[in-house]
Amino acid sequence: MPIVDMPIEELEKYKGINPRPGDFDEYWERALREMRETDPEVEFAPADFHAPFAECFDLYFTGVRKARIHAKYLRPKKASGPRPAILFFHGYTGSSGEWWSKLPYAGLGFSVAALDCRGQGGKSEDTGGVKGMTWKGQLIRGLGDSPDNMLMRHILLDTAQLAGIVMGFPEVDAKRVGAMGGSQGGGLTLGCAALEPRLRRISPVYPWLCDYKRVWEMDLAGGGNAEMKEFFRQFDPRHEREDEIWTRLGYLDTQHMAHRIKAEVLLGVGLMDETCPPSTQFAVFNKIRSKKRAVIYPDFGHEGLPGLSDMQFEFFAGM
Amino acid sequence: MPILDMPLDELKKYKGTNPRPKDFDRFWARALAEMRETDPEVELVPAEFRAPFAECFDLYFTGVRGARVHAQYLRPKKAAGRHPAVLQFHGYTGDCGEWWEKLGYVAAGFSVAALDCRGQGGKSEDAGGVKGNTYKGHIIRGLDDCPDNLMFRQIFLDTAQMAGIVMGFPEVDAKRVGAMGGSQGGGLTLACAALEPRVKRAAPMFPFLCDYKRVWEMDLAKGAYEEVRTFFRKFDPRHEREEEIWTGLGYIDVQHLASRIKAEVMMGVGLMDDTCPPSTQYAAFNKIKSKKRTVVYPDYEHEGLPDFLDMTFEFMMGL
Repeated sequence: MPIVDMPIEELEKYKGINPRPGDFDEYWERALREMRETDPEVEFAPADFHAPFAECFDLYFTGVRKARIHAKYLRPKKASGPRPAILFFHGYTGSSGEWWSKLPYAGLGFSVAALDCRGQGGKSEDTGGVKGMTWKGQLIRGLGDSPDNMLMRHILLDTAQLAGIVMGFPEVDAKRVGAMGGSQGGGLTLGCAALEPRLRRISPVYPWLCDYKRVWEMDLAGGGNAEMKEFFRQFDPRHEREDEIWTRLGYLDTQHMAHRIKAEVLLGVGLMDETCPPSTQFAVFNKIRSKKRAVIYPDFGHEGLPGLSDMQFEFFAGM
Repeated sequence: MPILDMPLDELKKYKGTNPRPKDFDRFWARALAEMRETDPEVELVPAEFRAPFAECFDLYFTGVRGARVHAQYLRPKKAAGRHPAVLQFHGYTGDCGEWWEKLGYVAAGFSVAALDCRGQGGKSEDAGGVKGNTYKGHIIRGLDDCPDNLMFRQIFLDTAQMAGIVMGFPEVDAKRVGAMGGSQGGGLTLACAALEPRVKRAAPMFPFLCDYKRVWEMDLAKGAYEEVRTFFRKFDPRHEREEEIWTGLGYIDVQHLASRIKAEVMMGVGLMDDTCPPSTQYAAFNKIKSKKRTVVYPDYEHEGLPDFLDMTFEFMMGL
């Protein structure tokens, strides 16, 4: 069969190769503390978009480092008592997308919150203040600074902070909150569930933000991974500091927090994926200890996986 | 500004290039008569997909030439009296898509019917029986046979037949039915509204199936329209029959049906579209006599047009 990565039997046992920093847990404790000490100053503004059965808002909150973060928020009009909610996370460089695609979940009576990632295609701020290269690339932003200043750390915290805010709304049942997204959105879904373990069900699709060293070793540093290759070429061309650099990226590697996930997981994977290679996705998946299932598409790459969105809808409808 | 086609002020006046057959109206009168004489034998089969607030069916009907045609049909569970409906048409080679993406309309109290085009990626039959090339391509299918055997004639009829079937359902208000789709789905949206003029609102996005000769003259018969060039290369390499061939394609050129549309039309266009060039889309648009407007994206090609589906949703809510 056509193959870009390991055979499936090896994928199912793969343990990942990107190093885990010795102080990974302290790092994230410190990060979560910073998040909890930030006053979110939540604000709702009625949105331009209208649907007959849901109120649509632009939701704003203050995240770490004083960034004003935006998310789309939909609240069903006819809700009696606390209802479930679902969080959406988007792909790299993108935005929270359009309102209509959230409506099926609002139709179920769910609240829906869709995050804009800082400094990408939506309305969330990136307050910057980071040493090193800022021309392009958010994965490597802060990689030349102290690890606490890496931008992806703040974005991962934004997902957990949004989850906590939504869980705290009177109309939401905090025990029935789910999350989903593809690519960067898949990685953020996994990160959110690890940092906010009250999440009940999650569905990441071909997640990014995992096993960075493996991507580089497969020589697939394209797409969002091109910036890792560029970082080495610019700042460590002879790979003299490579262990330190991979270890530093390890703070942002969702495989190292996967064991914290308590949510039930439905993962979507295309075996021909050359943007987020299957092995990197299985590096995370294999470390998840909660109930989990991988839905596999042998002939598909980093693209729409037919039928998966319907499966996800039925999965979350059961929450 | 970057430009692929005519400047916008010329696009707005462009009258199209592909010839209109002299017996165009008789051709379509004959076609509609054949459609009306076909016993549709409508069947609604409960679908595997479930949503709490919608009934989901696989809808089957018999179209012209004995083909069994499939569509997804969804209707709201709690509907009191007749309600509006939206008809959806898909892109070339594709299928009616997934169930979840129709649910926003159903939650708003609409029925939705999404057609599978004969012999493409879904479940509708192409009964065949056409002389000439059958290896690849539905635009040129039947072009060397008698014009009544053109494949897209049958597909256009399927759209009108499905519209009539949905309008005849007891739960649907036939005076509040809209149509939407992109690319081939955009062309079919316009054809449906022309052949079933009771359609009230139409939202085509970068329509395909218009002004074939113009595509070739721009040397853009390369992507989705590639079969037009291939047909000439194989069957008329010195273009000795070119007038006859363009005229033959004129029977299935949506621009020549556009004057029959009574629906209010909102059309999305990317000005850098080199798959369905803007001039070919305006050839159709400019012939529409009902209330109409374009939504223009100067930097966009044949790709998702941001917010257009949100605008379409709000447009259909006005039905």
